[in-house]
Amino acid sequence: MKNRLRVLRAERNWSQADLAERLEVSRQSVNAIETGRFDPSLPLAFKLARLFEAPIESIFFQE
Amino acid sequence: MGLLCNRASLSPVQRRHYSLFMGGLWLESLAMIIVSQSRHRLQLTGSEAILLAMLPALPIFYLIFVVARYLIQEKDEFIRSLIMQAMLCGIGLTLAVDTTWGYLTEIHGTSPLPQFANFVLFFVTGALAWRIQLARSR
Repeated sequence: MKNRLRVLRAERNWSQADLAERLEVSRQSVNAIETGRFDPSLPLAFKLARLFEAPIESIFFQE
Repeated sequence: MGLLCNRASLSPVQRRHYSLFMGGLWLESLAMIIVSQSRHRLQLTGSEAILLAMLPALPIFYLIFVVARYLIQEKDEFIRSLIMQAMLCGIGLTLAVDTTWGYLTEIHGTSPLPQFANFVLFFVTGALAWRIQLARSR
């Protein structure tokens, strides 16, 4: 699963640590999701969608 | 102590359980020392010997309880998955070493690996796997 997390984060000038704080997860988690090494659970994906005010399918997509 | 993690970078939940886990490790070390010293000094038999042999198993139950409680309280799903992977590495490597050593004992006559060493092996390999995963996730 690929995602646009890095782009969305850059648009807001957020560091990985900033995003991690907003999501209440570790910075390592944000890094792992961004690099595609870890697919988030549905609740975390919804949290990301709410945070970026975008539908889940516009953030995550099949390779 | 630095084998597991850098304490300063831990979240409050991790810090709390890290302290509990380290306390368990000290208890386990103490129990192992007591048993190894007592078996040479006291000639225990029957139920007393069984009770003494069970002593180092008690902190292991406690350590498993601490890890289980941590996994329940840890909200970060990625960190949870890393812990599970590290424990699986620990189990896998312990079983692999046990199997290899077992066959070496059968075929080559090597002295058998003391079974109480399994816990140390599991802990060390699990902790190393944890450190490698943390380094990869920077």
